[in-house]
Amino acid sequence: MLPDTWFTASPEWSLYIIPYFFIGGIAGGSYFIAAALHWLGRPYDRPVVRIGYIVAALGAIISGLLLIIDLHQPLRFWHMLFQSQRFPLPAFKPWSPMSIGSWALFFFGGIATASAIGALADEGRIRWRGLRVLFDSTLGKVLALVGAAFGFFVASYTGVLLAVTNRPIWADTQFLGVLFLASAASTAAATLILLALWRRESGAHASTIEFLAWFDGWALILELVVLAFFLLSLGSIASVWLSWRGIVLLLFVVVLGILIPLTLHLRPDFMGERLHGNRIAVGAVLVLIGGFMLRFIILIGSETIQGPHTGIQMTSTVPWP
Amino acid sequence: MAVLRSLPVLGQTRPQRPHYYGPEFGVTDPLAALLGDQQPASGGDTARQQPAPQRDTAAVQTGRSGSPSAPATETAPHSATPGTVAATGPMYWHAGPNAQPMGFFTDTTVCIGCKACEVACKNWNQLPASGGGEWEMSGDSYDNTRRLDGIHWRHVKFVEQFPDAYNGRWLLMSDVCKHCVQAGCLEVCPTGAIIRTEFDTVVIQSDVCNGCRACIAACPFGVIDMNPASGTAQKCTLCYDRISVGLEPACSKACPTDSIQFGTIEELRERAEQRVQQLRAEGATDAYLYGADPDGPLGGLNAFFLLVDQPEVYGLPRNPQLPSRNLASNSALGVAGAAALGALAAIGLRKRRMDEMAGTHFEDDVPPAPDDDVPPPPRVVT
Repeated sequence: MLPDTWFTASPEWSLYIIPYFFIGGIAGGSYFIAAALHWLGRPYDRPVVRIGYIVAALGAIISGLLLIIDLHQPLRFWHMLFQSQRFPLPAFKPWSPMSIGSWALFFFGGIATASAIGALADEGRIRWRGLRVLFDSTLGKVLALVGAAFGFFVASYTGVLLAVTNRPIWADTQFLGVLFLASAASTAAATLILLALWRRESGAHASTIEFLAWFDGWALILELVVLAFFLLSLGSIASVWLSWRGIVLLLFVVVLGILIPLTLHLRPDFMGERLHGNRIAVGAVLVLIGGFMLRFIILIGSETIQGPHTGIQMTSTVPWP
Repeated sequence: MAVLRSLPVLGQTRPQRPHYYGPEFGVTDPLAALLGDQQPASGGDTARQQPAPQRDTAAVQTGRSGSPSAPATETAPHSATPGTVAATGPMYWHAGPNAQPMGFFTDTTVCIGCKACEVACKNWNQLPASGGGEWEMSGDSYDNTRRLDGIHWRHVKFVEQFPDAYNGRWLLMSDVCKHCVQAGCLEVCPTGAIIRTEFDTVVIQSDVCNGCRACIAACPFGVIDMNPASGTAQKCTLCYDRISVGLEPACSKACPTDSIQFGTIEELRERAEQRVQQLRAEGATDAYLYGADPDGPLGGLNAFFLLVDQPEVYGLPRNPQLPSRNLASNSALGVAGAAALGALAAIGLRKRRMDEMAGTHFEDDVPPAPDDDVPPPPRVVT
């Protein structure tokens, strides 16, 4: 018997939505990692905290732009937030992931921007040093706490959004929200590692980077476990992975994006001396590629399934006559 | 046309339904002119020669419900003798506050695949041609429309079952939005563009829709798609503009065999059940109704079907479900994941602090245990 999700149409979320899922995940993940370092870290973690807030703000802004240009009526983007015919009454449907996600991204963008402004003022890049209060104060810490909650939300709601449909793969599992969250954590840590290494002058401390690499490793392990549960939960629809989809998933996501970075993390001498010094950086780049390919294959893997509603069932499923 | 319409179809006389348009009502159906179904001058259709019902014309024109003094059920056509029901009562269905659930019953056994419904639908709703008017052939089927989408709100599916050159049959089914009682599209729409009307139908307001496409993925039947002309998601409206002024939807109006029937849900269910009994009595034991059960999936479909093979053969899911079935479980696991990651970060940072205090942190790269107030000089992993 064909699965019930087989008869649906593809929304064609691809060109802008795959980068959004990737960048939005990094933004949300960066914020909560930065907030964790802000609250529980040491003063020498501050450079990476600042980088995290700035990445989150830029990511949130880019995410919003990607979402707007993905609409077929981009000028009506505000219909996501307000009732267009009864402005300014809000359009808020907490049971619709896209509705609640729009609001979450809106607030997350605001908080991340405030934190980033505070961080820039703290670095002295913004002249008005009074803005440091958004970062280096109780207010800054409260912002970090609220923003971290929104960061978790922005990082994971995209998976829930895919699950709350009737499309094959997406609607056949319970694990997409947590899978995207784990991937967001690992890609965000990888982004912060790379930026911290790149912006040496910002004073990122070796100890912070070691922590990020440690966190990244555990996030990857979580991702691998959740990915296994995700595949097991698909039931009869899992057979769609016996195709190019499965090859992409195995090669780019599992091997390149998870297993090799984990090996680099656990066995620093892996692949010889040449890599030794750059193992953290190489691992981070691979994690980013794997995180992008995870979003790619989960979106495109389902979008390319054209159920029989588009074609013709040439023979009956029951013997006829 | 009027004569054709009164002919029995497979032994069943079509219940004559009154038509409340025409000069005396102040409402003219442009589609009727298109179909050559004008008010006859004399003879033929008894129903149309009845004097104007007492229902006030203004109400029909403006779409108000008019005087509810005579409820619609009094003159439910199936209860009367065919050909004589008539236009003696008020409008056959109510618009406005007294509106009843309306829908389609599509009897696939009498569909001849003429696609008049598709044409009438595209015509009335002014839907653009596919492929910019280029002639597109499917190449592997007699059906060249292939699917419902933003510019095809009715689609006659051709299920071509030909196991070999000498045996085979066509199953023909005029597909349409099911106007689910529990609608997945309506549930997920973030803008509120998708609404439920007073007729219990589901309508996308094109001026509110911003083209996010959440509804396309949410529809269990793959009905909704983008209309490139409007840049919004579109689908059948059950001719909301027509039924709210007492006109039958374009597709059922055009259907020459009455495969598509329009009416109140209550009446259609009764009529469909009779038709299934009739077919079974005649030996077509496969006949069954898809979506007519109010206790079935999605609370029943306001556009339901009489089928003679498995639902999958017609491209219909056996057990269509609401997208929100996955909301709680996915969210709960997401929250659990967030808690795990938060705990992970806390554990990692605490472990680092303990290691620093013990002086065992990073065997080959130990930073001096930093003072809380004075950050150590920047050190970077090489």
